Amino acid sequence: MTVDPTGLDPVIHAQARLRVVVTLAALPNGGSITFPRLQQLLDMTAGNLATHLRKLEDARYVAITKTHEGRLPVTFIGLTSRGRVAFEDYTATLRALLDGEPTGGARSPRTTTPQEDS
Amino acid sequence: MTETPGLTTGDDSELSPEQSLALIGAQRQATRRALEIDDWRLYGTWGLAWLIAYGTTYLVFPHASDPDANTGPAWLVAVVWPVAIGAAMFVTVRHVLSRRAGVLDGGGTLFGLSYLIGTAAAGVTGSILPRLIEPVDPGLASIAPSVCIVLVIGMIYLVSGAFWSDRLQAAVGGWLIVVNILALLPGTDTYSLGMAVGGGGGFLVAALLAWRRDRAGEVVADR
Repeated sequence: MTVDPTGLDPVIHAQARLRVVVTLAALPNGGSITFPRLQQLLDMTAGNLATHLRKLEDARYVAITKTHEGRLPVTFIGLTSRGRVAFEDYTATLRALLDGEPTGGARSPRTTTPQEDS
Repeated sequence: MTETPGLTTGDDSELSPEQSLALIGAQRQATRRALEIDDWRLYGTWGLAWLIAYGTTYLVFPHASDPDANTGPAWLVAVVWPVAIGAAMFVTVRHVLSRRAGVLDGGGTLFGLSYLIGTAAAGVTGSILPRLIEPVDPGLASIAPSVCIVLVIGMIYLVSGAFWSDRLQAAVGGWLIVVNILALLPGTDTYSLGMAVGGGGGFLVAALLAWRRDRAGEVVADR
């Protein structure tokens, strides 16, 4: 994975994915939202949203759950605890950059291995 | 839609820290506007409903202890109550469903169900209690269901406000409990007047406070 010289998490540091993460972070811990509602909130095409969600899911920042309501398939998307921590770190790094502070000390999930995250 | 200076939706070009922070603030605010329930809208709706329903009851029956001494048509009360409360319930359910559509955050449906079950059970209890003593006191029989229901509603607001750290909601709950008692103290005749002014009026004041709180929150989020 590319390491951003600013120390900002490259998974989140893209406009579309940042908007996705901010929106999901507004839900209560453990909360989730259907794909169409998220798409409506973000005003993104289904394909574009799906692409960005896949990247976030690969980083295990979001959890995608497919279920059924009656006969209709429904997809719920929620921020994982790892994703929530990554977003908190991202905003902390942003503020540190704007304040002119060194960002090397900011804790980043990018430095953890998959085995460390449960 | 979120609009951040210098950015267009769907643009994945590199963001400066300033742009990122601005985008976070704008997106947060847009999400809150789209998903959060407007407390002021619900407080205002129920304030009007209580003011109209209890106010009509007092104007038609200024002496609850003597139901034959009505100063207006009794059918008016029978019509106004279901219309006012039904309209308030319709506005509440429609607002909540539209804002929370597609959102799964646990507890919302259970909260609504427990609210309905609690108030229905309180109403039934309040209807039975005065009839356990013969002869039935018409004044007590007319207000007891309301007294029980308002007590339960006040408790739900108080506990829910305390649980979610919503001071205004907790204060509304506490206020309803207090007003319910104060309206009883002079006797059964003026209970409806007390609930129209204190209960309905209290909700309307809460609506104003909630509106100001939301406005203040948006100003902070803009910074």
